[in-house]
Amino acid sequence: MTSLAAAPTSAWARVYGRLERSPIWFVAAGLLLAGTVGVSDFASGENISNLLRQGAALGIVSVGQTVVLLAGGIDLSVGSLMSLVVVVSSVIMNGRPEMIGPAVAVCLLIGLAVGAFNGAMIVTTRIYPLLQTFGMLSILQGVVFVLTDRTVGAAPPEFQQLSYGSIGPLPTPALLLAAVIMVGWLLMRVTPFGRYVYAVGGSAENARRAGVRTRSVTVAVYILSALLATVAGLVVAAQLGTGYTLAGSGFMIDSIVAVVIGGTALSGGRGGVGGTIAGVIVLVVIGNLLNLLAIPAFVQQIVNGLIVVGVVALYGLAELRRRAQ
Amino acid sequence: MTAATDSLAKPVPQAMSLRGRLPRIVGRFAVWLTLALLLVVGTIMSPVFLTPSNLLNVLGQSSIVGIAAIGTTYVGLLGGVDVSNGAVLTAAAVAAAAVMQGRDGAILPALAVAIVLGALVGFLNGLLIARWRVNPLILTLGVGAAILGATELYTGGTDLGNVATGFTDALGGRIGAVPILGLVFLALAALGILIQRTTAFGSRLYLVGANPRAAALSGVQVNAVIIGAYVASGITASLAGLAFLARSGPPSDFTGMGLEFQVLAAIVLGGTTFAGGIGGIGGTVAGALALALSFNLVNIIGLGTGGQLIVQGAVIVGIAALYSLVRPRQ
Repeated sequence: MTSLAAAPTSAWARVYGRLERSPIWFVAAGLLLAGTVGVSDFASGENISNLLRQGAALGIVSVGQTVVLLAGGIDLSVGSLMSLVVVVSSVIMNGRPEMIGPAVAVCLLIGLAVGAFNGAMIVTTRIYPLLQTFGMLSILQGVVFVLTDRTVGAAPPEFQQLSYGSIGPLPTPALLLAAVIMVGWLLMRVTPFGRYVYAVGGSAENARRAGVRTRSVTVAVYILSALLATVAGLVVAAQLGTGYTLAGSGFMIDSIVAVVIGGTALSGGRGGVGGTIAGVIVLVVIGNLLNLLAIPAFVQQIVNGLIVVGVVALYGLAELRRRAQ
Repeated sequence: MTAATDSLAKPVPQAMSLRGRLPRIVGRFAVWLTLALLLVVGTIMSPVFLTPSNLLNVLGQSSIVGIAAIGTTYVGLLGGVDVSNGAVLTAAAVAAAAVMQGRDGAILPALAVAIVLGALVGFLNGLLIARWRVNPLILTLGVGAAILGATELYTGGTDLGNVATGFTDALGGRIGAVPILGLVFLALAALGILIQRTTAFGSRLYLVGANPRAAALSGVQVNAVIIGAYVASGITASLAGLAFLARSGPPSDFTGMGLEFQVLAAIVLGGTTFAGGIGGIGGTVAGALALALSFNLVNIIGLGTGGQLIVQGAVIVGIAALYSLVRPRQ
């Protein structure tokens, strides 16, 4: 949210104001409450640890997607980039702990190249971001299938600590996610870069006239998104322990859905990392609850689809009301 | 044909400098040039490529994506997008097979059920997008997920129902060497072009796509046009599902998944690039053919699925970037 509206007087008023502006937190809180009260194993330490491990990759990639959407773009290529990272890192490591460093380095370079190419194409040719990153999605998944048509490589146990390890009582991937959220939040709320992103997403033309280097900002957000997708891919590689060719396929849609139900406008300029976290919580908790209740996967898909439709319809209505005022 | 119904009626300001005309020229010919280039490259690379039987096979292969792309082109003309068509395709094929149960007498009811299903989904999409200004990409993603889930819930993950032999015979075969589905695709495309060029709905698509506010001020029922486009998209998606059924039998579960991307690729290739008011079904037909040709070429070279995806991606990025480069700057 760019508008730092009149500072509310009491802490309670501030909390209430925030909730009113981001209804997704109500949904997240309601789900957590319903799970704790209604589903016996939900609040167990083991399940919460599971939730955090499962949510980490989605959370990390969604933070990057948030920044892209705030800048008025969209990144459809994150899922297949994650698949590529899972396959390439697993193949390079192939069970050897001494190859962890090279694998991570190569993957980060791939991510950097993909993000830079997306951003450069968008600013130089003015191609629609949707089409650029959709084409990239197709190319990256194609590269995966050219590399291999089956699951290959292996992550050594040391690398799997990235998903299954703990530091103190906290799962390692959750700490990684927390770090990404903190950095993302600070980047967007404290640094000039964050203000530029909001400005470009609000109106690229106005931002340019105000002296913002809009092209650099645009390239930067796609690089950021690709690098975070790479990190998320590494977490998935650690979780799976092997290079599954379609490992990232669900993350494109899920990340966009998490960002959008978190209140970030697809038209750019409004929203933020905080809402996205609530969106991720909602998606992950619903999946987890339906799993615990042994509800089949396709019912989960229906529920997810209907939630998306419902939430975007609500935001659409709110937008109409806002314009009417 | 008035200027507004001309297929590239994005108002070009001022006199027609080369710079001003370039978008029109590229927009009209880029996809045909691509098609020609593919034919040349294919002929050089393989002796079997430029044979009638191979080209007719490609026509047959392009039919499912091509049919679905006809109605979705109307959506693209409005600057919208519909990615629920892959799911509608699957659901319509499953529903038609379930109604047919192998009986020739049940073919017509099965067709009716499939088409009504597609029209209903399209109506729902259009209504939410027109009335509530819901983002079309996210909405149709969600609707698509819900439909695929519901389809799988209904079938239990197995292929249900049987295709009537009369249906497969009528649509799945060939007249001489020409695949019937290829002819159906071309006939439906011709109908689509006719609607786009000669009806009030067609010209209003271009008006609303180019400038919805101006269209509303000049008395166009913008919401009705939007809903109409999404209904058309839903109907052609269900027709593509019927084509799928005739070609490959009842889909087991997620066959529709991914087809929406090929549909999008065909439309973009054809020059309908979300700019609103630019493009048309003629280009989409060429786009679907070019896409099928490039997949054919990849297969001949022996690259398989991976190569197909790379080509699909490169073609989308290349062509869309080209269209963007020549788009008049605001």
